[in-house]
Amino acid sequence: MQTYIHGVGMTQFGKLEDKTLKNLLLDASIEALEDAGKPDVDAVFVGNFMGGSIYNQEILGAIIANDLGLGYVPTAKIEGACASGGIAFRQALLGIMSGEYETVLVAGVEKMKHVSTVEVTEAINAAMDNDSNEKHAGLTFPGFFGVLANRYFYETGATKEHLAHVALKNRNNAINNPLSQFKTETSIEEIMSARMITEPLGLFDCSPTTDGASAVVLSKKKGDIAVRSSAQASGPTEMQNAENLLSIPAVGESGRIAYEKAGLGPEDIDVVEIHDCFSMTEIISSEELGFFNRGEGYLAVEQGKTLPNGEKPINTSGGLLSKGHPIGATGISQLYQIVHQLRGTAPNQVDGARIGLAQNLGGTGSYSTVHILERV
Amino acid sequence: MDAFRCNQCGYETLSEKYYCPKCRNSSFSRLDIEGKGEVYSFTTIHIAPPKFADKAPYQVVLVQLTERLRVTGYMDEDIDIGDSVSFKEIQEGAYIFQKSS
Ligand SMILES: [Zn+2]
Repeated sequence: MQTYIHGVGMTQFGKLEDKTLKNLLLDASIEALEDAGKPDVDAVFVGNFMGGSIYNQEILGAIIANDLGLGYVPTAKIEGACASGGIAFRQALLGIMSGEYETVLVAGVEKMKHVSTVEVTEAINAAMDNDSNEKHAGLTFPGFFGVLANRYFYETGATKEHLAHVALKNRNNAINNPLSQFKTETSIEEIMSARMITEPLGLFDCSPTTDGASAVVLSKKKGDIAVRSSAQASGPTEMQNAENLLSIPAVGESGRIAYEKAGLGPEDIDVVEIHDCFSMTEIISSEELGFFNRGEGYLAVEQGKTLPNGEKPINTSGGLLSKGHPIGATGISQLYQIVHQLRGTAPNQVDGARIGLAQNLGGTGSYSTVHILERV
Repeated sequence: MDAFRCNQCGYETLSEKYYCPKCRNSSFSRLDIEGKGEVYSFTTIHIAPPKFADKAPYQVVLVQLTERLRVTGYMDEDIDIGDSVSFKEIQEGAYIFQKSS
């Protein structure tokens, strides 16, 4: 059965002191519903990670159904760390494919800027296996990708400057995206000399904390953006259990399944959103998804292949690094950007984009979803 | 230093698992390993969780202990990939390593 995206919505990303979690959730949902022509909705799925732990707010699905007058429809919140949004979208899709629903609203939201860095970091660390010696060793979420980056440098000859080029590209893309969190120009020099978070990753190599929401309306009724395939996979929850540290198997596996289901390959994809929680992650995942050979993703960055006018444009939205990363909203906001690319209305528009791919990662490789969309 | 090996496929793990992640077998043998290995990779953490804030910057290392076993540990010495290190002790659940002399 074919499903279609009928509408998308997204709030400003950034520090939004005057907006509550509910404001954000409803703003994005209303925009998506209006974009879809205000259809009846049979169910609501919400992607959210820390509404309970730092905002003391759950029942997000029921809040949408009530406040938007959707009736007594079933709703659920989906938690999958930073992949909460991608998984929520996939659950909506499966609900439609099962025959149970015709049209479903999916929203993602996070409010993170109202608490201290310490509190938000603690909440994010819930996305690691904390009943393990790794937490006791002082490993952090960014730390995992720092360890990965050092090994990647060692094996491939890549340097911190290659990571800086990822951060710079995504910043330049974000400058053209009115909804992005960071719009000030930067330079390789500024990125390279910024304060260290976890070596070799500095401030610009790490995605920020962000307030924001995004939403999509998905239906089996014919529309002009088709979901060609949906895939999800899991992977190791501890760094020491990674068979190959330079691989994120959940990304590779979700990509492989998504290509297989769609009958497409990496060469068919015109525009890509990759989960760049860290600059290093964008490079590794660009290899996992088959856009570049293993150990050569950094060369593609160096050669400008991932720029909006390159052969494989990655993160034309600005990515998590500069568009912002409101955790539960991120997976849906990637789809927002891909839909606009396929409609021809995106910031950093890729000429004639017809097929797009969005990859959403949770934890340090615990979850990954891949969705392939096509303009029909 | 203790580790465990799956009796069916040879998968090695630091703590005994309910099931082997590779083959789902549930019987493991205890290994007594020397605790000497090489730094496979590492990071120096500057922005640390509250409990570690007064230790920062410190190193989190991934140590290759046997052909099939890597362990995440803590160090407070400057190190590089390939350096020889040895297990010192377990402190509050953390595996502490030091440079081999
Ligand atoms: Zn086994």
